[in-house]
Amino acid sequence: MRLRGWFLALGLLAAFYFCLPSVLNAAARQLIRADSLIAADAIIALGGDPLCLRERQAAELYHRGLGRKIVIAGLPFAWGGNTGDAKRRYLICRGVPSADIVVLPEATNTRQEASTLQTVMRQNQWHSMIVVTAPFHSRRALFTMERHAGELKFYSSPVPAEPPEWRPAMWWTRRRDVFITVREFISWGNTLAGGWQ
Amino acid sequence: MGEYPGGWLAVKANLKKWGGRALLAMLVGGALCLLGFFSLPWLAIGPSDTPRKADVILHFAVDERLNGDQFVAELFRQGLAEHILCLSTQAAWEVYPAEYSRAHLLELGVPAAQVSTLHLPTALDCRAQVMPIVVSYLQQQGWRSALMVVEPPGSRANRRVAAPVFARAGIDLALSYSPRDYQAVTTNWWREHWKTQSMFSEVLNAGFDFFYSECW
Repeated sequence: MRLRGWFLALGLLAAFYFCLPSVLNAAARQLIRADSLIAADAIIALGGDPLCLRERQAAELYHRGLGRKIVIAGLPFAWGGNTGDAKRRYLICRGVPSADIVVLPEATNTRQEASTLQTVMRQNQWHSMIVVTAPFHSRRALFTMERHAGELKFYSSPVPAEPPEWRPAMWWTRRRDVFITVREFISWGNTLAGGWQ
Repeated sequence: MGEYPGGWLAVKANLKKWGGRALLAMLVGGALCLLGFFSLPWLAIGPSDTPRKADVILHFAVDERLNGDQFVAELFRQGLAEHILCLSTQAAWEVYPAEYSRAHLLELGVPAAQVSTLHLPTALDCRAQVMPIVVSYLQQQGWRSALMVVEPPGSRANRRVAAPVFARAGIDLALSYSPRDYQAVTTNWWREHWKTQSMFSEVLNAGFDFFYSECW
């Protein structure tokens, strides 16, 4: 009887060991939300990407005619600077007319972005928006926006999950990705609990 | 036939026993989480050296919500160094906060010839990969001692990582932060998102560093 218990425990341990990578991969993939795209009133590239991969993707969607305007989220930083100005310049360099770029100046976190964005959407009478963000952030960003403005329509088009972006496959083997993944799960906890804004 | 002696009563007693254990585990776990959370300032913020004379001030404290620039300018005015080096990664396309910090230092009266900037690569995984770049730059300039000014939440991790790298290169290092910044980040920190986030990120990062040899 006791031996059977040991075998059972050993079996469970082995199953846990061999299944763990699949579970971790699947959990990370759950962070991504990618919708099939249709033309929307505007496209937003959420803030927090120093490499401007989100803005690049937003510009591509704009040139494919999937949105008439691009909204960019700026972050204030040292001595009066705002990343929004640099992103505007970047988009202009990628062929987006200045008149079609709208900057949200104070977007320090996702909930703040969602709150400011719904105001901008209502002011401009936009009813739909394509949201471009990092793949790990896409499901939470859409969740936050839909919770803030349920009557507006949001579609997710994350940046591809390939280098130099975060990747869900075997994320625990890469130092940078492990931090991003764990922080994202914690951020989900904070969002669901309605914690810090 | 085959019934466990004691029947339903024994099952109930077992449930009660395991329920009690689960409740105790949850209480202990909750208390540990709470303790860990309120230890964040202690875990993230390390001691600050008394600023001492050095060849260069390494200015890493470029967060606009804090007073790093004022602190660095004050150290410069006190004659603790003849040169200031502002360092940062890219914040957006071709935008480096270090450049803005330099402009601010000039506004604060530091002569332009004595402030320079160093752009750090964005795609690095951790501090252990940044410090050799900084040390290599200092060696190129012939600087043998440095006063590193950081933001308080990163001070413990910065010291742990920088001290051995600088020591190996034979560069004397002191690490300090503004007392006003310390006051700012530790006052009601649990109520403000950015303060909690910066401390939490630093502690999380420092913890993960131990599992990856490239970050030791």
